[in-house]
Amino acid sequence: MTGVLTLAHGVGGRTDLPLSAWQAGWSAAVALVLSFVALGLAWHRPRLRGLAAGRPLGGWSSWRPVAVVVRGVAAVGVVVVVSAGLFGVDDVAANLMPVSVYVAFWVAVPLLVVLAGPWWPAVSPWEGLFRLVDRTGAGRAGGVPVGMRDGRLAAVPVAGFLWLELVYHDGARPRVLGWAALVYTVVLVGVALRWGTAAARRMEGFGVLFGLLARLSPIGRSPGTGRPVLRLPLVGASVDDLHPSEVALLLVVLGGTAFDGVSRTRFWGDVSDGHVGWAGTGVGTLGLVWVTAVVAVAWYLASRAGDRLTGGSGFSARFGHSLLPIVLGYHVAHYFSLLVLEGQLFGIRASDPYGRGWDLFGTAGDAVDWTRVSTGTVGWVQLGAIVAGHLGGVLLAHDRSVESWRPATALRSQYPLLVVMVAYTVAGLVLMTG
Amino acid sequence: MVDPAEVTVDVVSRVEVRDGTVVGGVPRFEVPVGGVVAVTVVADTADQVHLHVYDVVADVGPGVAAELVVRAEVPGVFEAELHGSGLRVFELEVS
Repeated sequence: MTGVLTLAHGVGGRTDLPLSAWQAGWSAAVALVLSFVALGLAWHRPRLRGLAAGRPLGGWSSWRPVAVVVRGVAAVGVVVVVSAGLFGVDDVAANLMPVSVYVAFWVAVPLLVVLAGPWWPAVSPWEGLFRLVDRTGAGRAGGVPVGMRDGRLAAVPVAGFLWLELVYHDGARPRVLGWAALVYTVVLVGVALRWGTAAARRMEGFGVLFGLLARLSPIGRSPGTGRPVLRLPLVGASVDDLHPSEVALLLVVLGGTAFDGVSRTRFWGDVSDGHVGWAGTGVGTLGLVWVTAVVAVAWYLASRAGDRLTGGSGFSARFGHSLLPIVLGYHVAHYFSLLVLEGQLFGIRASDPYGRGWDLFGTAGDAVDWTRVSTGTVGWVQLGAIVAGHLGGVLLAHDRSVESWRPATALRSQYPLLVVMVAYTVAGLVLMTG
Repeated sequence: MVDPAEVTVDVVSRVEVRDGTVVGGVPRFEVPVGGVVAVTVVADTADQVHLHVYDVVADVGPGVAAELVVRAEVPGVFEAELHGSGLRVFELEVS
C-alpha cells in the first residue's frame, strides 16, 4: 500500500505536527532582533547591486549538449504527464499527473531555480511552444490590449492553480489537472499567435514567478553582459525593481501559502467542519480570497505609509523584491515535508504513469517511507525557513533604502516595511502552531 | 490492525456521524509514538472510514460500527475520512 495522495487542502498523507509555542515564540523573537540589528548596524551605502555582478562562470558553452538532452527529457516528461492526466486511470492514487503537478512542478521547480539559477525557460513546455511560434513569425499584428501589455494577467493562472490546489474539492483528480493544463496551453498559444509571444510570456504567470525566484539564486546572469555568473545568494534580487504586476503576483502566492497554513489549523477545521464537495469548495474559496486580501492589504498599507514617509511614490515596486525571500521561506516551510514524503510517489507513479499496471523502472510496487524525515527535523526546517526568509527580506529592503535616500529618510522608510514583514513572519509562525 | 484484547490501549473513543457532520465537532486524538488507539466510528449512512498513511479501512453505516485499532508508529498528524462523502471524521496526532 502506498497511501492515498489527496493533496487538496494540504491534507492526506502525513501532515506536519504543530510547532510548540516556545519554538514559535523564540523564532519570532530572533526574527525581531535580527530586524533591528539589520536596521541599526547594517551598511549605510548600497552594496548588493555591486555584489550581484558576481564572478564569471567559465565553461558554460560545453554544457550545451547536456542542455539539449535535458530539454528532450523534459519534453517527453511533459507529454507523458499531461497524457496521463487526460487519458490515464482517473484516480489520484494511481496516476502520475497529481504528484507531478503539485510536488514536482509547484514545489521542486521553485526550489531548484533558487538553487541552480534561471534554467526553467530552457525546459518550460510553454516557453518551447513560444519559441516555435516565434519561428513562424506569427503574432506581429500589434494592437495588444493593455491588460496583456503590463503583465497583470500573470497572477490569474497562478491564482487559478492555487484554487485548484488548496480549495477545489476535486483539484487532485488527474482529469481535472489534465484539462486545466491543456486549456491553459491552448489559451497561451492562441495569445502568442494573435498578439505575439511577448504578450503570451507576460501572461504565463508560472514562468514569471520562477524567473523572479531565480533572482535569489547564486547562479545568475551578469546584469551587464548577460553571461552566467556565480554570486552570493539573494543579491541578484537587488538588481531590478519589480513591476507592480509582479508584486501582485508575489502577494497572490504568499496569500495562497498563508491560506494553506490557515487551512491546517484547528480553527479552520472547525469552520469548514461538515462542508464537503461544493459546499467545502465554497467555504475554501472565501477563505482563500480572505487570507490573500489580508496579506495584500497589509502590504498595500505599508507601501502607502512608505510613500508618505519618504515623500515619493512607487514604494511598493521599489521594495517588492524584498517579498521574494519571504515567499521562498513560506514555500519551504509549508512544502518541505510534502517534497520529502509525498515526493517519493513521483518515482513510484513514474513507473506506471497511466495506472495501467506497468512497471517501467521496477519501482511501481515501492511504498512511501512516511518516516524518512523526523517530525523534529521538519519543525526546525520550517522555523529556519521562515526566519531566514524574513532576514533576507529585511536585508534586501535595507540595501534598497540606503540606495534610494539619505540615511535619515532611509531609516524612516523601513519602519512600515518592518511592521509588515514582522506581521508576515509572526503570522506564519503562529499558523504553524496549529 | 491490532487486536485490542492483547495490548494496552492508550486512547479509546467513539465518533458519531449524523446528517453529514461529526457530532460535537471533529476530534483530534493525541497519542505518543508506539501508543495504541482504538476508535469506533458510527454513521447514519453507509460509507467507508479511511485513516490515511496507516491505511486502515473499515465499513460503516446503519447497524455497522467501524472499529479502527492502530499502533501509532509513524509520527505526524493524520486524517480519517469517509471515502464516499469526503467528510473528515477525526484526526490522529502522533508525537
